Amino acid sequence: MKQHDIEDPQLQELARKLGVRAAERLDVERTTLAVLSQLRQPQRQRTWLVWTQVAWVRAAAMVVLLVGIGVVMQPRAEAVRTAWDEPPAGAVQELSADQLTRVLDELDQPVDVTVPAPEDAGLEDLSEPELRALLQSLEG
Amino acid sequence: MAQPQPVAAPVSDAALIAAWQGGDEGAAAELVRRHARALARFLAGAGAPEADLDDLVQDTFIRAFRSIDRFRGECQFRTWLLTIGGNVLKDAGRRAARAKVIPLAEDLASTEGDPHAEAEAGEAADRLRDELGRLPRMQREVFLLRAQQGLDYGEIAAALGTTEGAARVHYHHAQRRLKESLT
Repeated sequence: MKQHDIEDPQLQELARKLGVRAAERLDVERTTLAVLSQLRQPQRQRTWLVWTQVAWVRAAAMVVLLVGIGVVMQPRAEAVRTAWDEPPAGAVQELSADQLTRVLDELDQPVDVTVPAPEDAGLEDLSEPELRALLQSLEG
Repeated sequence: MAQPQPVAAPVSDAALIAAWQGGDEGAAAELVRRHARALARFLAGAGAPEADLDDLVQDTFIRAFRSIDRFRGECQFRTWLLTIGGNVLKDAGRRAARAKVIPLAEDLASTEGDPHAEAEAGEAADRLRDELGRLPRMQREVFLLRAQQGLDYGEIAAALGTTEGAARVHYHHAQRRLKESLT
């Protein structure tokens, strides 16, 4: 048989016959009843099932994400803690009650820093000898 | 003398769809009765194994009825239904592939269904079915909608979301390959 011997109408005829027998064997009434029966079933149940599955997958993904972040961030957090140079917790625990009280009292003390009063900051308030002494010390 | 009863005009698909949307189950049943065989023929032509045909037809109707709000009436209800059938068949093929059962193409090549029916079918029809299974989906669907279902290109294009020109090109390519396989 030569190529393209089968002409378009023949091909269409063949195509028209495709599936005819299978379709004839279909029990349309049974199919109709089955479709109606499935349509009567609430779709909500199926939707809920799908939603639940999606929710579980999302929750699992979130847990994996959090664990991953924890794994990545842990060495960095350790480094920051070391850089902070906190006293080891053990040293505090080893102090007696008296020692702890003394440490806390010291922490309550005002820090001994001499903050210059605003009036100390101006050169105009210095006397002439004081200015002269200051200049000499700068030249010094 | 009794007057002859006027013959009731058949209810249109559009009216049945509207009735179904209003909750009329009978309208849905009528739509299934009207289109089930055409759908089965299309699915069988597109490579559906005969053993699965009933389930595929049911799934297609269920999917169509549940998404009926998306039917805009740009094509006939039947054409829209057939394209949904194509999607259902494709999904079934994917599931079968995932489950590592017989792939659709092999199933197409095999002698599906009862041997008596196969014996009745002509050799050319068998080869046509085999070759249709190897065509790209778009070419296969355009060919079936045109050659098997007798739809015009405008209708096919509207249903498949393509242009009339593209539908013609798909048909032309499909026809050429099918002719080659049948010589």
